[in-house]
Amino acid sequence: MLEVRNVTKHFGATVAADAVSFTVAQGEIVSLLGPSGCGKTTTLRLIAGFERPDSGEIRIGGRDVTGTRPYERNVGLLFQHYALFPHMTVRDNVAYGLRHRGWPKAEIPDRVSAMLGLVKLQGLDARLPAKLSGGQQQRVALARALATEPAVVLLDEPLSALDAKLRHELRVEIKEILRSVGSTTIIVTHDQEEAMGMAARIIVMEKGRIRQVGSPDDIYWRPGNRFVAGFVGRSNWFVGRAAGAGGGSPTLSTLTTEDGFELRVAAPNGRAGAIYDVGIRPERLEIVSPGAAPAADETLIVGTVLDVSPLGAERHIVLRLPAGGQLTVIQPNRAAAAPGTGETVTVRARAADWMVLPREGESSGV
Amino acid sequence: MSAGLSPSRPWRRRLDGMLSGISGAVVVLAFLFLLVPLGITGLMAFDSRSYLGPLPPPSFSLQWFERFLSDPYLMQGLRTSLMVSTTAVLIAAAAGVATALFLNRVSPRWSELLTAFFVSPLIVPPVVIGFALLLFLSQVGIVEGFVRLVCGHLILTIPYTIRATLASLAGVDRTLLEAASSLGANERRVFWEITFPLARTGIVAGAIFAFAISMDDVAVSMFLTDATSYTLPVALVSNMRANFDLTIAAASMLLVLFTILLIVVLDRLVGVDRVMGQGLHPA
Repeated sequence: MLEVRNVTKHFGATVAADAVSFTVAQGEIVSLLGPSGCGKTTTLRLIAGFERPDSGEIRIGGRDVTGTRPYERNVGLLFQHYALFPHMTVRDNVAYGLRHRGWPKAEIPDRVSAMLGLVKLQGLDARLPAKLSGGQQQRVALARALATEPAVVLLDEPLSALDAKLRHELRVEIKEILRSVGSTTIIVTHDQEEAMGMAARIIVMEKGRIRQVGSPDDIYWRPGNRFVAGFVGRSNWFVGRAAGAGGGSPTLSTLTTEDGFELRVAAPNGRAGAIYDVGIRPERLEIVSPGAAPAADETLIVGTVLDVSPLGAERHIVLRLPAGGQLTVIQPNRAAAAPGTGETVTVRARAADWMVLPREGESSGV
Repeated sequence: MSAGLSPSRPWRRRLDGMLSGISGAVVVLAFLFLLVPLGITGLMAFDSRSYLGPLPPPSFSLQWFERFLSDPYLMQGLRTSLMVSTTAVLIAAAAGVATALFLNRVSPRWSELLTAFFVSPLIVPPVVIGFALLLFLSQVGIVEGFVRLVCGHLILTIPYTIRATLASLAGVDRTLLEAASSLGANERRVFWEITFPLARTGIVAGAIFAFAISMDDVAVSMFLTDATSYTLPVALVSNMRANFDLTIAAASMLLVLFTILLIVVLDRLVGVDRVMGQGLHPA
């Protein structure tokens, strides 16, 4: 449905989009995720036609739209600050695209009512946008964007102007509506929760480049590089040197950290001596009783409790390691007593839970 | 020792008190200086004596207003003024919108440079504008007084309409225009349906302000009048030279009233400071 092929865009000396390529299938919801300045918004603006690429091609529904104006593309947009026309009523806002996209005049009122019904705003059609709450305004904007049955719907940080609770509600609702309409959708966001909650596939960008494409689980549990692993979620990182295959198992290997600490991880493909970034999500660490013997695929780490933060649903425990580093453990905040500050605890990590990434800039092949 | 705190030096406090007293007095003086002449003019406009006598007038009448309104020479000036200002402001508003739209699209560096250029008549002395224009227009063969006056008043008013339009265009959120174009509206429709309606009040306010400026001008108009086409302020000045009487006071009061009316309308529309203030660098 949407194809972005090798699109590059410079602003002055900076590359906002660097050979970006991806496709979005009919009815798929994809998210462009990354920090500000990563090129996600530029990519969206290129698809909408607000910017022209320096090179590359954009196709919508098989048609090359690279050189066309925004109004010549069938693209619906949802903006961070709603962008409702302040001098028009809700009805006229929703009808705007219908009028310009050549809908038969007689059908427009029915279509507008149907769209307002879809976003649950019946009865507000004579209001001006200023008389609506932020959440209501974004619903009107969604009705307006979807009214003309756009081939592609682009959402630009659609929820970041709303407060946290409303954001969650509206996210679920928008996702539901987009799915029911069957829209081909791209959500641009810097908020990983928004991306993972709404999109089936996430494209992570950094400095104008795509760093990884995958499902929310892929991105979180199997990050392709250190940037993605660091941007999405929290994790504890070590640098380890491969001791070579062995340890008695073909699927396991041992990485030795700078402090001489040995980690049992699922075997990376590198040769002995290669250096890896090894990380583990805090919620995958488990506090076990002291003196337990590790299984072959486990590593036990001993540390002193530095801080315990009970954060409602979960509890964050920061440990100081004997070598000086820190380790964060996240536990469900259940009745089981939290360890006290200063206490020495043993933490268990399973080999399969470690994210093992070749050190960037050091190719593991040669 | 209480270094730093000096309760033992009352003269400092006294000096502070004196300074604030002095600045208060200056404000009062400035206020009087600005308003007393106007007040006297207002008072004299209602003088019932037929000659210029000492203050205060012994009794009041509307004779000077009657005289002003029945004076064919001054009335002709008023008619010309209204026609010149209306014509000039209508053209200036259209030109201002067109120019501002153009300036809004070019790169910021060019836009700043060109804006400074278009607004520059504001800092050229009106006498210079009037004389230069008279010279230029007679060179190219335009001698008709009305046309000359309209040309002069265009120079006077265009800076204001450009400024006002730039400021109001800058107030229109760009994402609204992008939203409209993504909904299928081409650039002309985006302008007429979104940009213009949202900027309209600011543009009208600029035009009203320009009208007030144009109605009050003497310096430029003086050079451009001829025997039949002269503006009211010019007529008042020459009348004053010929026979000094209080018709001018009455006319001045009506002009002041008219200007106040315009400013009130303007303030109701958008707020005066937006038109008079930092139009060059819209926030």
